[in-house]
Amino acid sequence: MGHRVDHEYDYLFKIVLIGDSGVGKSNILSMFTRNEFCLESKSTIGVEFATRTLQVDGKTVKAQIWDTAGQERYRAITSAYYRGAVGALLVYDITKRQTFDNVQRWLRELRDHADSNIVIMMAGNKSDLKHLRAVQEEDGHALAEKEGLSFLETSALEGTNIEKAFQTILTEIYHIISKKALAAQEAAATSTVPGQGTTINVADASGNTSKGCCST
Amino acid sequence: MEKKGLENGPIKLIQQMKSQTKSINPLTAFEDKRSVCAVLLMDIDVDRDAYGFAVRPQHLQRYREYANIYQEEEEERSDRWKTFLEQQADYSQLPINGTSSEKDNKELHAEATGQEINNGLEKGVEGDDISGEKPSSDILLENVTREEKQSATSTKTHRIQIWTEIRPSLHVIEDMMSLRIMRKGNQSKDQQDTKKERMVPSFEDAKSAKGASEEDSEDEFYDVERSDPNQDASSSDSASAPATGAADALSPESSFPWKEELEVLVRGGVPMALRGELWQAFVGVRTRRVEKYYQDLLASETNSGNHVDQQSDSNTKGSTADSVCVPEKWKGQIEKDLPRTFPGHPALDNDGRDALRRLLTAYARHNPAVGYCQAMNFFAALLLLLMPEENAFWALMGIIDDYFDGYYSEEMIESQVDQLVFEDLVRERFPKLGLLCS
Repeated sequence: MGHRVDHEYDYLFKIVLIGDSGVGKSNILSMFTRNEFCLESKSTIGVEFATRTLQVDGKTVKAQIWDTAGQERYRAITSAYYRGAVGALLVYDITKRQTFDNVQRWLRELRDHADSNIVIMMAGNKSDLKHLRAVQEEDGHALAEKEGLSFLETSALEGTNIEKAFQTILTEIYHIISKKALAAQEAAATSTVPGQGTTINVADASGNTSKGCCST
Repeated sequence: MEKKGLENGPIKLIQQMKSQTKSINPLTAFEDKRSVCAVLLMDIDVDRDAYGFAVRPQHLQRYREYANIYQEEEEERSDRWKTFLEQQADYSQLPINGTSSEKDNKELHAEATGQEINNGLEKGVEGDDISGEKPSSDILLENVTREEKQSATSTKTHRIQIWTEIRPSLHVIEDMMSLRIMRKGNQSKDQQDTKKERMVPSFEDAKSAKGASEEDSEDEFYDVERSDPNQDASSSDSASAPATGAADALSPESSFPWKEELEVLVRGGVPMALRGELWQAFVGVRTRRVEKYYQDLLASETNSGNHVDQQSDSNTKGSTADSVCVPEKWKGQIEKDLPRTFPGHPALDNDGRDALRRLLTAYARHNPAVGYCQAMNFFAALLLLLMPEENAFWALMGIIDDYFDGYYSEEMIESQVDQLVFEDLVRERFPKLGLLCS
């Protein structure tokens, strides 16, 4: 689905997948990018990434998703990859309370290392394991509201809400960017505003268009 | 539990690959194994590579097409190595086939250690794990001789625990490489006498009681290594950098006139049948080994067992900065990663995972400053594919303690440094690409 030749996209958005070890980050990624789920997946070492190109509000968006190792000590490594990310999917496991309690720590991690405008979606994964549930959906909603995050419960295994989670993030990012672009146009700024740097950089990194996916 | 049906194929395949390299094998003990397996050679459906890893469907056809070439190349390599090793044997007049004493040794170890380990090991293991009777752990035991195989059913745990000497013809290589270990040991002994007084005594007692005089220096070296997590980075820098750099100078061409030839051989690739043993020779496993150290590390589980069980379910996240204080905090992460290490590989059935658990746990106890870090599971599992369990432990220790010193510590400092250096190199050599990393 959505396979295209590289460069055939309007926007490139970098998104990071974070959360405790074993919550299902890699499977969310493989589900979204390859429609695959693997019960016997391997531990992620450091970072890995995959991409998928899809339509968002009529625009072709390439999502470049960075999957990270969940073990605590890897944060020193993985946080370096937050740079340039415009979105984050923060995953916890609804069957493991601890992974939900740690969401705060991950948010701090993002505040410390990522762009302050990063769009964050919290995902309570493994919603198929109803009998093992340890975190109520309301708790997820409450936390999300308090922290100003989007929230969904997902199941990589069943494919529930995976598509929707990414669509939501990407759409929100796109809206922010087009709003900025509009503002920039209206202001008729003489040069690009540094505050928009993150997004611009990402688009640059694609080697595709030069500056200005959002400033022109 | 999973994919039992696949078990036989890859194992035979591995043995079969070995049989293809028969020419290099100077040990007569291996003769039988290969004649048994050679029969099965051609009718195996090759969907896994020689190491038992699944070949991706998209690569399968190519893999099959090239199978003959791979085999020829492997034979070529094997011949070259064989010639080389025979030459070494001539020089040093080592009794290539004289292995009987070693076998005795092995059996002795097995007898001595098998029983006590049992207690400690089976504790954290689920019931059905123990009952797994599948013989596929053979894959972990490729160096084990025929006699041991026959008694396998009754003494399974013994077999898994076993320590096996590498073939004598590799000892010259090991001796050369071991100079590095000795020197490093001495150096840290000199430099850091003060430090070691502060060290945690836990395993020290057990070790010094057993360690022969020859092993004293490395004992101290290792103790220093894990004595103080905070100083880990700095001390390792000062200790390892010069030692590594000096390794070449240390092995003068006069003592090892064949060193260059060996380097060429290594660059050309190591034949599969020799790989596990050669790795051990290079890491200097025999020199590092302290008898019973591995078993003692594992046995200590019984003492701290209560904490362990409590912790097993809780996430590693409980483990913040208060690293060494919390006992066995690595356990949860190890358990998570066991099924996620080479998933689907036939060697990592229940027995294989038990071995992997023991190996990682033992290392974590040996070096609490590192404990367990994701990625070590892959090192450890790969070693288990190529050598007996205790050998794998000493190899892992050599690799993580020396070659990856500081890499997997809580701060992962060396790993970060390497990535920054790499980034710099990319900028320098590939400026265009470098622009993208800004």
